[in-house]
Amino acid sequence: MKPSVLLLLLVAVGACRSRPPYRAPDEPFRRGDPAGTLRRLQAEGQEGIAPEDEALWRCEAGAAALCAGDEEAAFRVLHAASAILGTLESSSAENARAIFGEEATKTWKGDPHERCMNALYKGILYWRRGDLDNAAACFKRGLLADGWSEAGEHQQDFAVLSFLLAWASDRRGLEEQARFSFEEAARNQPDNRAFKNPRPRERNVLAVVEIGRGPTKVAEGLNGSIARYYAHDTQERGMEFLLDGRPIGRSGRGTDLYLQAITRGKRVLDGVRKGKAIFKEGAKIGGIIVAYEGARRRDWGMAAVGVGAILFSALTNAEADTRHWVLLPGEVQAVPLSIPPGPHTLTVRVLDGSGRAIPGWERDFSVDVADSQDTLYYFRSGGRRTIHALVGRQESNATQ
Amino acid sequence: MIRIYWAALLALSLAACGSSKTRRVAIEDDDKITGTGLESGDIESIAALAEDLMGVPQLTGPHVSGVPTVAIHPVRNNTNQDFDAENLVRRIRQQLVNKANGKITFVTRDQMDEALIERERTEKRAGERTSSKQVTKTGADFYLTGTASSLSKVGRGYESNAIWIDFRLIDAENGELVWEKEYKTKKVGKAGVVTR
Repeated sequence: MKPSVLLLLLVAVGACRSRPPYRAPDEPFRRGDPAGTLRRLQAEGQEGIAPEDEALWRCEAGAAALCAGDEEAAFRVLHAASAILGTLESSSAENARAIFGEEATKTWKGDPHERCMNALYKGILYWRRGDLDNAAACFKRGLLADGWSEAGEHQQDFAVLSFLLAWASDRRGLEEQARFSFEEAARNQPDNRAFKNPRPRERNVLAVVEIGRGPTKVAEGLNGSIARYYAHDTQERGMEFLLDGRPIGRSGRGTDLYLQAITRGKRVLDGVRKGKAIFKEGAKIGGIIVAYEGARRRDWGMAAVGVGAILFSALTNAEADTRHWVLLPGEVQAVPLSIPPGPHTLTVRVLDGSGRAIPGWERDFSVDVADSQDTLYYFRSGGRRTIHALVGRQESNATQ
Repeated sequence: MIRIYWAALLALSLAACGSSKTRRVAIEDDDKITGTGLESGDIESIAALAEDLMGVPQLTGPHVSGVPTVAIHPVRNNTNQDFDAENLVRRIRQQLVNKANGKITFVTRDQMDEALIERERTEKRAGERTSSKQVTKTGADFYLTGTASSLSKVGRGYESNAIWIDFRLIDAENGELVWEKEYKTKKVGKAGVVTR
Protein backbone atom coordinates (compact mmCIF):
# COMPACT_ATOMS: atom_id res chain seq x y z
CA MET A 1 0.00 0.00 0.00
CA LYS A 2 1.44 3.33 -1.03
CA PRO A 3 1.62 6.04 1.63
CA SER A 4 -0.67 8.24 -0.47
CA VAL A 5 -3.39 5.54 -0.41
CA LEU A 6 -2.99 5.26 3.31
CA LEU A 7 -3.35 9.03 3.65
CA LEU A 8 -6.47 8.90 1.50
CA LEU A 9 -8.15 6.41 3.80
CA LEU A 10 -7.13 8.23 6.96
CA VAL A 11 -8.49 11.54 5.75
CA ALA A 12 -11.75 9.89 4.70
CA VAL A 13 -12.15 8.40 8.15
CA GLY A 14 -11.18 11.68 9.73
CA ALA A 15 -13.95 13.37 7.78
CA CYS A 16 -16.47 11.61 9.99
CA ARG A 17 -17.13 13.83 12.95
CA SER A 18 -17.15 12.70 16.49
CA ARG A 19 -19.31 14.19 19.24
CA PRO A 20 -20.95 13.09 22.47
CA PRO A 21 -24.17 11.08 22.03
CA TYR A 22 -27.38 13.08 22.30
CA ARG A 23 -29.09 13.10 25.69
CA ALA A 24 -32.28 14.96 26.51
CA PRO A 25 -32.22 17.65 29.24
CA ASP A 26 -34.10 15.57 31.81
CA GLU A 27 -33.20 17.50 35.00
CA PRO A 28 -36.48 19.52 35.18
CA PHE A 29 -38.42 16.31 34.48
CA ARG A 30 -36.74 14.57 37.42
CA ARG A 31 -37.78 17.50 39.61
CA GLY A 32 -41.40 16.99 38.61
CA ASP A 33 -41.39 19.72 35.96
CA PRO A 34 -42.03 18.07 32.57
CA ALA A 35 -43.04 21.42 31.10
CA GLY A 36 -39.55 22.69 31.94
CA THR A 37 -37.98 19.80 30.06
CA LEU A 38 -40.36 20.39 27.17
CA ARG A 39 -39.32 24.05 26.99
CA ARG A 40 -35.66 23.08 26.95
CA LEU A 41 -36.28 20.48 24.26
CA GLN A 42 -38.12 23.08 22.20
CA ALA A 43 -35.18 25.44 22.61
CA GLU A 44 -32.85 22.67 21.43
CA GLY A 45 -35.10 22.15 18.44
CA GLN A 46 -34.88 25.81 17.52
CA GLU A 47 -31.11 25.65 17.69
CA GLY A 48 -31.12 22.58 15.45
CA ILE A 49 -30.97 18.87 16.13
CA ALA A 50 -28.61 16.59 14.22
CA PRO A 51 -30.66 14.58 11.69
CA GLU A 52 -29.51 11.28 13.18
CA ASP A 53 -30.85 12.33 16.60
CA GLU A 54 -34.13 13.80 15.42
CA ALA A 55 -36.31 10.77 16.14
CA LEU A 56 -34.88 10.49 19.66
CA TRP A 57 -35.37 14.19 20.31
CA ARG A 58 -38.97 13.94 19.11
CA CYS A 59 -39.64 10.90 21.30
CA GLU A 60 -38.26 12.74 24.32
CA ALA A 61 -40.38 15.78 23.52
CA GLY A 62 -43.41 13.52 23.14
CA ALA A 63 -42.95 11.99 26.59
CA ALA A 64 -42.44 15.42 28.15
CA ALA A 65 -45.48 16.86 26.36
CA LEU A 66 -47.65 13.95 27.52
CA CYS A 67 -46.73 14.65 31.13
CA ALA A 68 -47.10 18.39 30.64
CA GLY A 69 -50.65 17.81 29.38
CA ASP A 70 -49.99 19.09 25.84
CA GLU A 71 -51.62 16.31 23.84
CA GLU A 72 -51.44 18.12 20.51
CA ALA A 73 -47.70 18.69 20.78
CA ALA A 74 -47.18 15.12 21.98
CA PHE A 75 -49.11 13.72 19.06
CA ARG A 76 -47.26 15.88 16.54
CA VAL A 77 -43.76 14.97 17.68
CA LEU A 78 -44.43 11.30 18.33
CA HIS A 79 -46.06 10.96 14.93
CA ALA A 80 -43.06 12.55 13.24
CA ALA A 81 -40.72 10.32 15.25
CA SER A 82 -42.58 7.19 14.24
CA ALA A 83 -42.19 8.14 10.59
CA ILE A 84 -38.43 8.02 11.10
CA LEU A 85 -38.54 4.85 13.21
CA GLY A 86 -40.63 3.14 10.56
CA THR A 87 -38.27 3.99 7.74
CA LEU A 88 -36.57 0.93 6.42
CA GLU A 89 -32.82 0.52 6.33
CA SER A 90 -30.13 3.10 6.81
CA SER A 91 -28.61 5.02 3.96
CA SER A 92 -25.39 3.69 2.44
CA ALA A 93 -23.64 6.84 3.61
CA GLU A 94 -24.76 6.18 7.18
CA ASN A 95 -23.57 2.60 7.01
CA ALA A 96 -20.22 3.72 5.60
CA ARG A 97 -19.84 6.22 8.44
CA ALA A 98 -20.71 3.64 11.04
CA ILE A 99 -18.15 1.13 9.77
CA PHE A 100 -15.23 3.16 11.06
CA GLY A 101 -16.91 5.97 12.94
CA GLU A 102 -19.27 5.91 15.88
CA GLU A 103 -22.41 3.80 15.97
CA ALA A 104 -24.11 6.98 17.16
CA THR A 105 -23.69 8.56 13.72
CA LYS A 106 -26.47 6.30 12.46
CA THR A 107 -30.02 7.58 12.53
CA TRP A 108 -31.49 6.63 15.91
CA LYS A 109 -34.35 4.22 15.43
CA GLY A 110 -34.54 2.96 18.96
CA ASP A 111 -34.37 -0.43 20.57
CA PRO A 112 -37.51 -2.58 20.37
CA HIS A 113 -38.87 -1.41 23.73
CA GLU A 114 -38.44 2.21 22.65
CA ARG A 115 -40.34 1.59 19.42
CA CYS A 116 -43.02 -0.13 21.47
CA MET A 117 -43.36 2.93 23.68
CA ASN A 118 -43.58 5.28 20.71
CA ALA A 119 -46.43 3.15 19.37
CA LEU A 120 -48.07 2.90 22.79
CA TYR A 121 -48.03 6.68 23.32
CA LYS A 122 -49.42 7.30 19.86
CA GLY A 123 -52.14 4.74 20.53
CA ILE A 124 -53.08 6.48 23.77
CA LEU A 125 -53.31 9.82 21.98
CA TYR A 126 -55.38 8.43 19.10
CA TRP A 127 -57.68 6.78 21.65
CA ARG A 128 -58.16 10.04 23.52
CA ARG A 129 -59.07 11.68 20.20
CA GLY A 130 -61.77 9.07 19.78
CA ASP A 131 -59.95 7.31 16.93
CA LEU A 132 -59.95 3.71 18.13
CA ASP A 133 -59.10 2.35 14.67
CA ASN A 134 -55.74 4.10 14.59
CA ALA A 135 -55.20 3.46 18.30
CA ALA A 136 -55.54 -0.27 17.69
CA ALA A 137 -53.25 0.02 14.65
CA CYS A 138 -50.58 1.60 16.86
CA PHE A 139 -50.87 -1.11 19.51
CA LYS A 140 -50.49 -3.76 16.82
CA ARG A 141 -47.51 -1.85 15.46
CA GLY A 142 -45.98 -1.78 18.93
CA LEU A 143 -46.42 -5.52 19.30
CA LEU A 144 -44.69 -6.03 15.97
CA ALA A 145 -41.86 -3.74 17.06
CA ASP A 146 -41.50 -5.89 20.16
CA GLY A 147 -40.64 -8.77 17.87
CA TRP A 148 -37.96 -6.93 15.91
CA SER A 149 -34.44 -8.09 16.43
CA GLU A 150 -31.43 -8.78 14.31
CA ALA A 151 -31.33 -12.40 15.43
CA GLY A 152 -34.80 -12.93 14.09
CA GLU A 153 -36.61 -14.17 17.16
CA HIS A 154 -40.16 -13.03 17.13
CA GLN A 155 -41.34 -12.63 20.68
CA GLN A 156 -44.25 -10.50 21.73
CA ASP A 157 -44.37 -10.20 25.49
CA PHE A 158 -45.35 -6.56 25.97
CA ALA A 159 -48.44 -7.42 28.01
CA VAL A 160 -49.79 -3.87 28.31
CA LEU A 161 -49.82 -3.40 24.54
CA SER A 162 -51.76 -6.66 24.18
CA PHE A 163 -54.19 -5.53 26.87
CA LEU A 164 -54.75 -2.13 25.24
CA LEU A 165 -55.23 -3.77 21.85
CA ALA A 166 -57.73 -6.16 23.40
CA TRP A 167 -59.67 -3.32 25.00
CA ALA A 168 -59.71 -1.25 21.81
CA SER A 169 -60.76 -4.29 19.78
CA ASP A 170 -63.61 -4.98 22.17
CA ARG A 171 -64.81 -1.40 21.80
CA ARG A 172 -64.63 -1.73 18.02
CA GLY A 173 -66.77 -4.83 18.11
CA LEU A 174 -63.94 -7.19 17.13
CA GLU A 175 -64.62 -9.84 19.74
CA GLU A 176 -62.28 -12.51 18.40
CA GLN A 177 -59.31 -10.13 18.25
CA ALA A 178 -60.20 -8.92 21.76
CA ARG A 179 -60.33 -12.44 23.16
CA PHE A 180 -57.01 -13.38 21.57
CA SER A 181 -55.28 -10.26 22.86
CA PHE A 182 -56.73 -10.53 26.37
CA GLU A 183 -55.37 -14.08 26.51
CA GLU A 184 -51.99 -12.89 25.25
CA ALA A 185 -51.86 -10.14 27.91
CA ALA A 186 -52.75 -12.61 30.68
CA ARG A 187 -50.19 -15.13 29.40
CA ASN A 188 -47.40 -12.53 29.40
CA GLN A 189 -48.33 -11.04 32.77
CA PRO A 190 -50.00 -13.81 34.78
CA ASP A 191 -49.63 -11.84 38.03
CA ASN A 192 -52.17 -9.24 36.91
CA ARG A 193 -55.72 -10.11 37.97
CA ALA A 194 -57.28 -7.49 35.70
CA PHE A 195 -55.54 -9.03 32.70
CA LYS A 196 -56.92 -12.47 33.60
CA ASN A 197 -60.43 -11.22 34.20
CA PRO A 198 -60.82 -7.94 32.29
CA ARG A 199 -64.66 -7.75 32.17
CA PRO A 200 -64.61 -4.97 29.54
CA ARG A 201 -68.38 -4.60 29.44
CA GLU A 202 -68.51 -3.82 33.15
CA ARG A 203 -65.82 -1.16 33.10
CA ASN A 204 -66.08 2.10 31.18
CA VAL A 205 -62.72 3.74 31.91
CA LEU A 206 -59.26 2.44 31.21
CA ALA A 207 -56.34 4.00 33.11
CA VAL A 208 -52.82 3.70 31.74
CA VAL A 209 -50.35 4.10 34.60
CA GLU A 210 -46.63 4.75 34.42
CA ILE A 211 -44.26 4.56 37.35
CA GLY A 212 -40.55 4.82 37.96
CA ARG A 213 -37.68 5.70 35.71
CA GLY A 214 -36.74 3.95 32.49
CA PRO A 215 -33.49 2.01 32.07
CA THR A 216 -30.21 3.78 31.35
CA LYS A 217 -27.95 2.58 28.57
CA VAL A 218 -24.19 2.71 28.99
CA ALA A 219 -21.15 1.55 27.00
CA GLU A 220 -18.93 -1.04 28.66
CA GLY A 221 -16.35 -3.67 27.85
CA LEU A 222 -13.57 -3.72 25.27
CA ASN A 223 -13.30 -0.20 23.82
CA GLY A 224 -16.79 0.54 25.20
CA SER A 225 -18.21 -1.73 22.54
CA ILE A 226 -20.88 -3.36 24.67
CA ALA A 227 -24.16 -1.52 25.24
CA ARG A 228 -25.74 -2.45 28.53
CA TYR A 229 -28.91 -1.32 30.25
CA TYR A 230 -29.20 -0.59 33.96
CA ALA A 231 -32.42 -0.36 35.95
CA HIS A 232 -33.21 2.41 38.43
CA ASP A 233 -34.55 1.50 41.84
CA THR A 234 -37.80 3.25 42.59
CA GLN A 235 -40.12 3.28 45.55
CA GLU A 236 -43.36 3.25 43.57
CA ARG A 237 -44.93 0.02 42.38
CA GLY A 238 -48.42 1.04 41.28
CA MET A 239 -51.37 3.38 41.80
CA GLU A 240 -54.64 3.22 43.65
CA PHE A 241 -57.80 4.99 42.51
CA LEU A 242 -60.56 6.34 44.76
CA LEU A 243 -63.80 7.72 43.39
CA ASP A 244 -65.32 10.36 45.65
CA GLY A 245 -63.29 8.84 48.47
CA ARG A 246 -64.20 5.19 47.75
CA PRO A 247 -61.51 2.78 46.43
CA ILE A 248 -62.33 1.54 42.93
CA GLY A 249 -59.16 -0.12 41.75
CA ARG A 250 -55.40 -0.61 41.86
CA SER A 251 -53.00 -1.08 39.03
CA GLY A 252 -51.21 -4.41 38.99
CA ARG A 253 -47.99 -5.57 37.37
CA GLY A 254 -47.73 -4.48 33.76
CA THR A 255 -44.68 -4.27 31.53
CA ASP A 256 -41.25 -3.62 33.04
CA LEU A 257 -39.25 -1.62 30.51
CA TYR A 258 -35.90 -2.69 31.95
CA LEU A 259 -36.84 -6.33 31.40
CA GLN A 260 -38.08 -5.43 27.93
CA ALA A 261 -34.75 -3.73 27.19
CA ILE A 262 -32.57 -6.62 28.29
CA THR A 263 -34.62 -9.53 27.02
CA ARG A 264 -35.88 -10.84 23.76
CA GLY A 265 -38.76 -13.02 24.77
CA LYS A 266 -37.48 -15.19 27.61
CA ARG A 267 -33.82 -14.85 26.67
CA VAL A 268 -31.67 -12.40 28.64
CA LEU A 269 -29.11 -10.50 26.61
CA ASP A 270 -25.79 -9.89 28.30
CA GLY A 271 -25.06 -6.68 26.45
CA VAL A 272 -24.33 -6.36 22.76
CA ARG A 273 -21.01 -7.39 21.38
CA LYS A 274 -19.71 -5.52 18.40
CA GLY A 275 -17.40 -7.01 15.80
CA LYS A 276 -15.83 -3.63 15.39
CA ALA A 277 -14.05 -3.86 18.75
CA ILE A 278 -12.49 -7.17 17.71
CA PHE A 279 -11.46 -5.64 14.38
CA LYS A 280 -9.95 -2.66 16.19
CA GLU A 281 -7.83 -4.85 18.45
CA GLY A 282 -6.92 -7.22 15.61
CA ALA A 283 -5.82 -4.38 13.34
CA LYS A 284 -3.67 -2.91 16.12
CA ILE A 285 -1.90 -6.15 17.00
CA GLY A 286 -1.58 -7.24 13.35
CA GLY A 287 -0.27 -3.78 12.43
CA ILE A 288 2.43 -3.89 15.07
CA ILE A 289 3.62 -7.33 13.89
CA VAL A 290 3.63 -6.35 10.20
CA ALA A 291 5.34 -3.02 10.88
CA TYR A 292 8.00 -4.73 12.99
CA GLU A 293 8.64 -7.42 10.38
CA GLY A 294 8.78 -4.80 7.60
CA ALA A 295 11.35 -2.77 9.53
CA ARG A 296 13.39 -5.89 10.37
CA ARG A 297 13.54 -6.94 6.70
CA ARG A 298 14.03 -3.33 5.56
CA ASP A 299 10.86 -3.76 3.46
CA TRP A 300 9.48 -0.25 3.86
CA GLY A 301 6.29 -1.02 1.91
CA MET A 302 5.45 -3.76 4.38
CA ALA A 303 6.28 -1.47 7.29
CA ALA A 304 3.96 1.19 5.87
CA VAL A 305 1.11 -1.32 5.70
CA GLY A 306 1.72 -2.17 9.36
CA VAL A 307 1.75 1.47 10.40
CA GLY A 308 -1.38 2.03 8.34
CA ALA A 309 -3.17 -0.79 10.14
CA ILE A 310 -2.17 0.69 13.50
CA LEU A 311 -3.48 4.11 12.48
CA PHE A 312 -6.63 2.54 11.10
CA SER A 313 -7.18 0.82 14.42
CA ALA A 314 -6.61 4.06 16.30
CA LEU A 315 -9.15 5.87 14.16
CA THR A 316 -11.81 3.18 14.36
CA ASN A 317 -14.38 4.08 16.98
CA ALA A 318 -15.83 0.88 18.40
CA GLU A 319 -17.91 2.53 21.10
CA ALA A 320 -21.47 1.29 21.27
CA ASP A 321 -24.37 3.62 20.63
CA THR A 322 -25.66 4.66 24.05
CA ARG A 323 -28.38 6.99 22.86
CA HIS A 324 -31.63 6.02 24.52
CA TRP A 325 -35.02 7.47 25.45
CA VAL A 326 -34.28 8.81 28.93
CA LEU A 327 -37.77 10.08 29.74
CA LEU A 328 -39.37 6.65 29.59
CA PRO A 329 -40.94 5.25 32.77
CA GLY A 330 -39.73 2.12 34.53
CA GLU A 331 -43.02 0.28 34.17
CA VAL A 332 -46.28 0.67 32.26
CA GLN A 333 -49.50 -0.66 33.73
CA ALA A 334 -53.15 -0.61 32.76
CA VAL A 335 -56.19 -0.89 34.99
CA PRO A 336 -59.86 -0.89 34.02
CA LEU A 337 -62.19 1.16 36.23
CA SER A 338 -65.91 1.52 36.60
CA ILE A 339 -66.96 5.14 37.01
CA PRO A 340 -70.58 6.28 36.66
CA PRO A 341 -71.07 9.03 34.05
CA GLY A 342 -70.96 12.55 35.44
CA PRO A 343 -68.64 14.71 37.55
CA HIS A 344 -66.53 13.10 40.26
CA THR A 345 -63.39 13.55 42.29
CA LEU A 346 -60.86 10.92 41.35
CA THR A 347 -58.07 10.53 43.88
CA VAL A 348 -54.88 8.87 42.72
CA ARG A 349 -52.37 7.48 45.23
CA VAL A 350 -48.94 6.07 44.49
CA LEU A 351 -48.30 2.72 46.18
CA ASP A 352 -45.08 1.18 47.44
CA GLY A 353 -43.93 -2.44 47.11
CA SER A 354 -46.10 -3.59 50.00
CA GLY A 355 -49.20 -2.02 48.48
CA ARG A 356 -49.33 0.88 50.96
CA ALA A 357 -49.93 4.45 49.83
CA ILE A 358 -46.72 6.46 49.94
CA PRO A 359 -47.39 9.45 52.25
CA GLY A 360 -47.74 12.76 50.41
CA TRP A 361 -47.85 11.14 46.98
CA GLU A 362 -51.45 11.57 45.90
CA ARG A 363 -53.53 13.97 43.88
CA ASP A 364 -57.20 14.75 43.36
CA PHE A 365 -58.57 15.18 39.86
CA SER A 366 -61.96 16.57 38.90
CA VAL A 367 -63.27 14.30 36.19
CA ASP A 368 -66.46 14.42 34.18
CA VAL A 369 -66.97 10.97 32.77
CA ALA A 370 -68.81 10.80 29.48
CA ASP A 371 -71.65 8.37 28.96
CA SER A 372 -69.53 6.15 26.75
CA GLN A 373 -67.43 3.03 27.01
CA ASP A 374 -64.18 4.32 25.55
CA THR A 375 -62.70 6.72 28.08
CA LEU A 376 -58.95 6.48 28.58
CA TYR A 377 -56.95 8.28 31.27
CA TYR A 378 -53.17 8.51 31.53
CA PHE A 379 -51.26 8.86 34.81
CA ARG A 380 -47.56 9.06 35.52
CA SER A 381 -45.73 9.39 38.80
CA GLY A 382 -43.10 12.11 38.63
CA GLY A 383 -40.20 13.55 40.56
CA ARG A 384 -40.82 15.21 43.93
CA ARG A 385 -43.96 13.14 44.42
CA THR A 386 -45.92 14.66 41.57
CA ILE A 387 -48.54 12.88 39.50
CA HIS A 388 -49.03 13.96 35.90
CA ALA A 389 -52.24 13.08 34.11
CA LEU A 390 -54.43 13.34 31.06
CA VAL A 391 -57.97 13.06 32.38
CA GLY A 392 -60.00 15.55 30.37
CA ARG A 393 -61.19 15.05 26.83
CA GLN A 394 -58.31 16.49 24.81
CA GLU A 395 -57.91 19.16 27.46
CA SER A 396 -54.72 20.56 28.80
CA ASN A 397 -54.07 19.24 32.29
CA ALA A 398 -51.77 21.17 34.50
CA THR A 399 -49.25 19.10 36.38
CA GLN A 400 -49.10 19.26 40.12
CA MET B 1 -1.87 10.40 -10.20
CA ILE B 2 -2.11 12.77 -7.24
CA ARG B 3 -5.15 14.40 -8.80
CA ILE B 4 -6.92 11.04 -8.97
CA TYR B 5 -6.23 10.46 -5.30
CA TRP B 6 -7.61 13.85 -4.37
CA ALA B 7 -10.74 13.21 -6.42
CA ALA B 8 -11.21 9.84 -4.75
CA LEU B 9 -10.59 11.45 -1.37
CA LEU B 10 -13.26 14.05 -2.01
CA ALA B 11 -15.74 11.39 -3.15
CA LEU B 12 -15.06 9.26 -0.09
CA SER B 13 -15.44 12.20 2.26
CA LEU B 14 -18.74 13.13 0.67
CA ALA B 15 -19.99 9.56 0.81
CA ALA B 16 -18.91 9.19 4.40
CA CYS B 17 -20.54 12.30 5.67
CA GLY B 18 -23.54 12.33 3.38
CA SER B 19 -25.17 15.18 1.56
CA SER B 20 -28.72 15.86 0.53
CA LYS B 21 -30.56 18.17 -1.82
CA THR B 22 -34.27 18.72 -1.91
CA ARG B 23 -35.77 17.74 -5.24
CA ARG B 24 -39.28 17.65 -6.56
CA VAL B 25 -40.74 14.23 -7.41
CA ALA B 26 -44.09 13.03 -8.67
CA ILE B 27 -46.48 12.28 -5.84
CA GLU B 28 -47.05 8.71 -6.98
CA ASP B 29 -43.32 7.97 -7.11
CA ASP B 30 -41.61 5.92 -4.43
CA ASP B 31 -38.81 7.69 -2.63
CA LYS B 32 -35.80 6.40 -0.75
CA ILE B 33 -37.46 6.96 2.62
CA THR B 34 -39.74 4.01 2.57
CA GLY B 35 -41.63 2.07 5.16
CA THR B 36 -43.98 -0.84 4.82
CA GLY B 37 -47.14 1.24 5.28
CA LEU B 38 -49.24 3.16 2.80
CA GLU B 39 -47.28 5.69 0.78
CA SER B 40 -48.48 8.65 -1.25
CA GLY B 41 -48.37 6.49 -4.37
CA ASP B 42 -50.78 4.03 -2.75
CA ILE B 43 -53.17 6.80 -1.80
CA GLU B 44 -53.19 8.08 -5.37
CA SER B 45 -53.81 4.58 -6.76
CA ILE B 46 -56.61 3.98 -4.28
CA ALA B 47 -58.29 7.25 -5.20
CA ALA B 48 -58.04 6.32 -8.88
CA LEU B 49 -59.90 3.08 -8.14
CA ALA B 50 -62.97 5.07 -7.38
CA GLU B 51 -63.32 5.99 -11.06
CA ASP B 52 -64.60 2.47 -11.55
CA LEU B 53 -67.72 3.50 -9.68
CA MET B 54 -68.80 5.55 -12.66
CA GLY B 55 -69.61 2.33 -14.48
CA VAL B 56 -72.02 1.02 -11.85
CA PRO B 57 -75.46 0.77 -13.55
CA GLN B 58 -77.33 1.61 -10.36
CA LEU B 59 -75.56 4.97 -10.31
CA THR B 60 -75.19 5.98 -13.94
CA GLY B 61 -77.32 3.48 -15.89
CA PRO B 62 -80.15 4.53 -18.22
CA HIS B 63 -82.83 3.51 -15.72
CA VAL B 64 -81.61 5.80 -12.95
CA SER B 65 -84.03 8.58 -12.29
CA GLY B 66 -82.82 11.71 -10.55
CA VAL B 67 -79.40 12.23 -9.11
CA PRO B 68 -78.41 9.46 -6.68
CA THR B 69 -76.61 10.41 -3.49
CA VAL B 70 -73.59 8.44 -2.33
CA ALA B 71 -72.42 8.83 1.27
CA ILE B 72 -68.69 8.22 1.58
CA HIS B 73 -67.82 6.67 4.92
CA PRO B 74 -64.42 6.78 6.60
CA VAL B 75 -62.13 3.90 5.76
CA ARG B 76 -61.99 1.51 8.73
CA ASN B 77 -58.41 0.77 9.68
CA ASN B 78 -57.77 -2.81 10.77
CA THR B 79 -54.08 -2.73 9.83
CA ASN B 80 -51.05 -2.27 12.05
CA GLN B 81 -50.28 1.13 10.51
CA ASP B 82 -52.04 4.28 11.55
CA PHE B 83 -53.02 6.45 8.62
CA ASP B 84 -55.10 9.52 7.92
CA ALA B 85 -58.39 7.96 6.86
CA GLU B 86 -59.88 11.40 6.30
CA ASN B 87 -57.19 12.21 3.76
CA LEU B 88 -57.96 8.99 1.94
CA VAL B 89 -61.66 9.85 1.86
CA ARG B 90 -60.90 13.35 0.61
CA ARG B 91 -58.80 11.98 -2.27
CA ILE B 92 -61.52 9.50 -3.21
CA ARG B 93 -64.23 12.14 -3.02
CA GLN B 94 -62.22 14.52 -5.18
CA GLN B 95 -61.80 11.89 -7.88
CA LEU B 96 -65.45 10.97 -7.77
CA VAL B 97 -66.76 14.53 -7.86
CA ASN B 98 -64.55 15.38 -10.82
CA LYS B 99 -65.58 12.28 -12.76
CA ALA B 100 -69.27 12.35 -11.95
CA ASN B 101 -69.95 15.70 -13.63
CA GLY B 102 -73.00 16.28 -11.47
CA LYS B 103 -74.60 12.92 -12.28
CA ILE B 104 -74.05 11.74 -8.73
CA THR B 105 -74.09 13.71 -5.51
CA PHE B 106 -71.49 12.82 -2.91
CA VAL B 107 -71.62 13.48 0.80
CA THR B 108 -69.16 12.42 3.47
CA ARG B 109 -70.13 10.75 6.70
CA ASP B 110 -68.17 10.11 9.85
CA GLN B 111 -68.58 7.16 12.14
CA MET B 112 -70.89 9.14 14.40
CA ASP B 113 -73.41 9.26 11.58
CA GLU B 114 -73.68 5.51 11.29
CA ALA B 115 -76.49 5.18 13.82
CA LEU B 116 -78.34 7.97 12.07
CA ILE B 117 -77.88 6.27 8.72
CA GLU B 118 -79.14 2.98 10.08
CA ARG B 119 -82.25 4.78 11.26
CA GLU B 120 -82.61 6.36 7.85
CA ARG B 121 -82.34 2.96 6.21
CA THR B 122 -85.22 1.78 8.36
CA GLU B 123 -87.24 4.82 7.37
CA LYS B 124 -86.52 4.21 3.70
CA ARG B 125 -87.66 0.62 4.01
CA ALA B 126 -90.86 1.92 5.54
CA GLY B 127 -91.25 4.31 2.60
CA GLU B 128 -90.91 7.38 4.77
CA ARG B 129 -87.85 8.70 3.00
CA THR B 130 -86.63 8.63 -0.60
CA SER B 131 -83.37 10.44 -0.97
CA SER B 132 -83.24 10.43 -4.79
CA LYS B 133 -86.30 12.57 -4.81
CA GLN B 134 -85.91 14.34 -1.53
CA VAL B 135 -82.28 15.03 -0.82
CA THR B 136 -81.79 15.83 2.83
CA LYS B 137 -78.77 16.71 4.85
CA THR B 138 -78.31 13.16 5.97
CA GLY B 139 -79.92 11.35 3.07
CA ALA B 140 -78.13 8.88 0.85
CA ASP B 141 -79.13 6.24 -1.69
CA PHE B 142 -75.82 4.40 -1.46
CA TYR B 143 -73.02 4.09 1.05
CA LEU B 144 -69.41 3.74 0.00
CA THR B 145 -67.44 1.98 2.71
CA GLY B 146 -63.81 0.93 2.93
CA THR B 147 -61.95 -1.42 5.23
CA ALA B 148 -58.19 -1.76 5.39
CA SER B 149 -56.67 -4.95 6.74
CA SER B 150 -53.16 -6.30 6.80
CA LEU B 151 -51.02 -9.34 7.34
CA SER B 152 -47.59 -8.61 8.74
CA LYS B 153 -44.49 -10.58 9.50
CA VAL B 154 -41.17 -9.64 11.06
CA GLY B 155 -38.08 -11.72 11.43
CA ARG B 156 -34.33 -11.72 10.84
CA GLY B 157 -34.36 -7.96 10.55
CA TYR B 158 -36.95 -7.94 7.78
CA GLU B 159 -40.54 -6.84 7.80
CA SER B 160 -43.25 -7.76 5.37
CA ASN B 161 -46.61 -6.08 5.26
CA ALA B 162 -49.49 -7.04 2.98
CA ILE B 163 -52.34 -4.52 2.95
CA TRP B 164 -55.77 -4.90 1.42
CA ILE B 165 -58.30 -2.11 1.22
CA ASP B 166 -61.75 -3.31 0.27
CA PHE B 167 -64.31 -0.82 -1.00
CA ARG B 168 -68.01 -1.57 -1.14
CA LEU B 169 -70.98 0.34 -2.47
CA ILE B 170 -74.11 -0.62 -0.60
CA ASP B 171 -77.70 0.19 -1.45
CA ALA B 172 -78.98 2.17 1.51
CA GLU B 173 -82.47 0.87 1.09
CA ASN B 174 -81.94 -2.86 1.16
CA GLY B 175 -78.30 -3.29 2.19
CA GLU B 176 -77.50 -4.92 -1.16
CA LEU B 177 -73.88 -4.95 -2.24
CA VAL B 178 -73.84 -3.32 -5.68
CA TRP B 179 -70.12 -2.81 -6.25
CA GLU B 180 -66.91 -4.07 -4.71
CA LYS B 181 -63.29 -3.38 -5.48
CA GLU B 182 -60.01 -3.97 -3.69
CA TYR B 183 -56.65 -2.32 -3.61
CA LYS B 184 -53.79 -4.52 -2.48
CA THR B 185 -50.11 -4.01 -1.96
CA LYS B 186 -47.31 -5.89 -0.29
CA LYS B 187 -44.06 -4.41 0.92
CA VAL B 188 -41.00 -6.15 2.20
CA GLY B 189 -37.95 -4.41 3.52
CA LYS B 190 -35.12 -4.55 5.95
CA ALA B 191 -36.36 -3.16 9.22
CA GLY B 192 -34.67 -0.02 10.44
CA VAL B 193 -31.53 -0.36 12.48
CA VAL B 194 -32.07 -2.16 15.74
CA THR B 195 -29.11 -1.92 18.01
CA ARG B 196 -29.50 -5.37 19.49
